[in-house]
Amino acid sequence: MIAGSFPRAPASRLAALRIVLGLAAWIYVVARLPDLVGVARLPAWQFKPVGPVALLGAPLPGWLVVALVALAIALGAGFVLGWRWRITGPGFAAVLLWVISYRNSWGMTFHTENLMVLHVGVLACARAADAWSLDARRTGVTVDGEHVRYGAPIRLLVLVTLTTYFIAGYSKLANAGFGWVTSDTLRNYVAFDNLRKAELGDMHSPLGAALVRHAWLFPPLAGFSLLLELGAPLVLLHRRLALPWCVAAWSFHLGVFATMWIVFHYPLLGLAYAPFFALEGAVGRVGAWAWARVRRRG
Amino acid sequence: MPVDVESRRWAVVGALLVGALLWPLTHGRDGFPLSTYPMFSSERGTEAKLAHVVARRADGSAAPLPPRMLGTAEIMQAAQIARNAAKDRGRARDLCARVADRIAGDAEWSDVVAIEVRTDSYDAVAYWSGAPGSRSSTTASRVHARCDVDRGSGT
Repeated sequence: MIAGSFPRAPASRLAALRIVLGLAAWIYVVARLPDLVGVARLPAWQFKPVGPVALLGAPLPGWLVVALVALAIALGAGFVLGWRWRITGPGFAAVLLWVISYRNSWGMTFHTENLMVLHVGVLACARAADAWSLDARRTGVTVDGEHVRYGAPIRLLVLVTLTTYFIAGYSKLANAGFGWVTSDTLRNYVAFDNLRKAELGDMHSPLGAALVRHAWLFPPLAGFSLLLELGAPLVLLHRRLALPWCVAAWSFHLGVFATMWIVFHYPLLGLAYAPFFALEGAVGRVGAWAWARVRRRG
Repeated sequence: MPVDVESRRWAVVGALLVGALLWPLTHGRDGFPLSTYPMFSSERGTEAKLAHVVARRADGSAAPLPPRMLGTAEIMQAAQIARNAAKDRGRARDLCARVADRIAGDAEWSDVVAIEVRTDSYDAVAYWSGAPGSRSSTTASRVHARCDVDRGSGT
């Protein structure tokens, strides 16, 4: 990446991403509330801190776990609404990182949450509440035109998405070489993961279990996955590559869901790919519709 | 702020960010949120060794327990809890006792007489290739802890 290569964007484009990605993270915290606070009841020997939680030598008291999750919900609301952005922006990013890391500090790291936390972190470093926010409404300041200060963080969000895919591909190559594609590794993973679910009392994928009998299917699927991941950085070369790559990446996660019953909610809902597109028009229309309904009822 | 200065500032932020994201690849340790994304990345054969917690009925039949019985809603966390417990006999006994306590108060599992924390080995491909009835066949098993479900006199 070179200085001067950042595109300009209107403040509303970054604001739309603040609302969409912030709201998704906020809903995630609310929906995962039982898990996020439930770890407080797990025995201390299961505590294996990751990320910033590694600073702790022992688990936090239960009341503090609950308080931090409540703080994340409160700050998240401020983040989405763009209220006191200088506090709620970085505050939500930091507390979200903490509570998700804390939940991941009990023996199992959920790789479905990394991108969400990273995206919120990038947004928190940017002026994402200069438009469509309570702050902008309070100050009455409107930003006209397009600026690098709004386009650059959007480019970083894209870069983060692409880099995480590249790392996943690199790890496969580093750990298994091209044998990951040419061998039965992928088929064996599908068989193992569904077996694990069945034997651990959870739902498994009937499709994945049935496909295990057809070994020839898996090397092409493995090749597609690896190409998609290792080729991710190439999307930066031309904007026209964004849409086909996003569709391919989304299809990949759909395939993972269909064959292994693993829900990567962030990409499956399109959130991982939202920074690739100009969302302000769609978000503006949805916001205007919702506001009109609120006013009609009021 | 002039555009070129702003671009340069974001370029520095971007370089630091990408550097941080790639950093785990230099030492190979997974973390959060900076990760090597190691899931499904290693070579894998057909053998599947699985630590889990099993409910045992009076007739000797076994049934897998859902993650909530291990104190979590997440299947992967349940797997990790069982795996950690299987490494240490004391932890296995502790987990076994906690699950037995939970089962004792659950009417849905009233036919369960004992809990086992165990590690079973399977051939994962054969598991899905045979008839549904043959799926539970294991190639090797080890019981780390076994405890009776005590429902007391009131039940």
